[in-house]
Amino acid sequence: MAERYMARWGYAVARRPVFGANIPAYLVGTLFGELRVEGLYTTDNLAAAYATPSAGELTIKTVTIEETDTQGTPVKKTWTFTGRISPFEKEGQADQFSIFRFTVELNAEPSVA
Amino acid sequence: MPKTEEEKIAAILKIIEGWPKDCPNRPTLAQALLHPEILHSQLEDPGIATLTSGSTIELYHLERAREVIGAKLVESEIPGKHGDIFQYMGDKSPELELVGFVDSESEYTAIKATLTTMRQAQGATPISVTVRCGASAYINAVQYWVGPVEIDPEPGYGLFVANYRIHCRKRG
Repeated sequence: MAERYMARWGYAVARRPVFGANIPAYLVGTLFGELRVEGLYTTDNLAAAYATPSAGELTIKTVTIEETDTQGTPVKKTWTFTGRISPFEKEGQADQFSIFRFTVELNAEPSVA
Repeated sequence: MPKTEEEKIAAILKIIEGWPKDCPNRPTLAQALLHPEILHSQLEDPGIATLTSGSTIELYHLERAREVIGAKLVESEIPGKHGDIFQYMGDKSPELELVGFVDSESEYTAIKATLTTMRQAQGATPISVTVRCGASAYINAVQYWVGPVEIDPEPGYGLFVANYRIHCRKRG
């Protein structure tokens, strides 16, 4: 029931100052990234359980997102994200539906096929 | 010093060619024209600090050039009074610590191999140190004894990034 997602990833760029110059040296650092998914919450939603560690560890989950690429002949693209779910969020209101959100801390760059 | 614009560009190109090819922070011609201070010199020597003895070690990413201008202070104890401090004989040789980082293997090799080879002969062939702040060489070809050299690779980069610390003590 996911309705919306947002992903961002990249590599940290460290600016190391050097003596006698205003222009720093730029060093490419480590990968960071997250995927946020939002949707309507239903009782069969299992994602909440994935935010609980198993044997002390959050297991790596794979999230695939299908979308239709609008080029000349529309094609289906599948994006694959892997990482650990943290945190899981749930938000609701009396007599209304509730929504959920979860964030996947990516452990690799996503791939598309 | 180059006089015409053409000579200036030729001099900048020569400096850029001197930077290690594997150094990701090697400036482009456009960068050098916009920010000549990135070359750290008046179009002569590109390194912020250099150690010379026959060959020259260029330190391109110097962060600190820490100096300790030493004096030997001693304590005297006077019975029945508080102790006092006085200077024992003359000033001591200033110490210089060159702290920075390398971001390419060739720069690492220059410190690890070339500098240590140079150090082996420093008894007979002194090592001259120059440190520049922008265009000004405020430590200009001063002879130092090169002491311990520390190289400390840093995690979290896909490239070879290592911090270095070179201890020097002025000769004479």
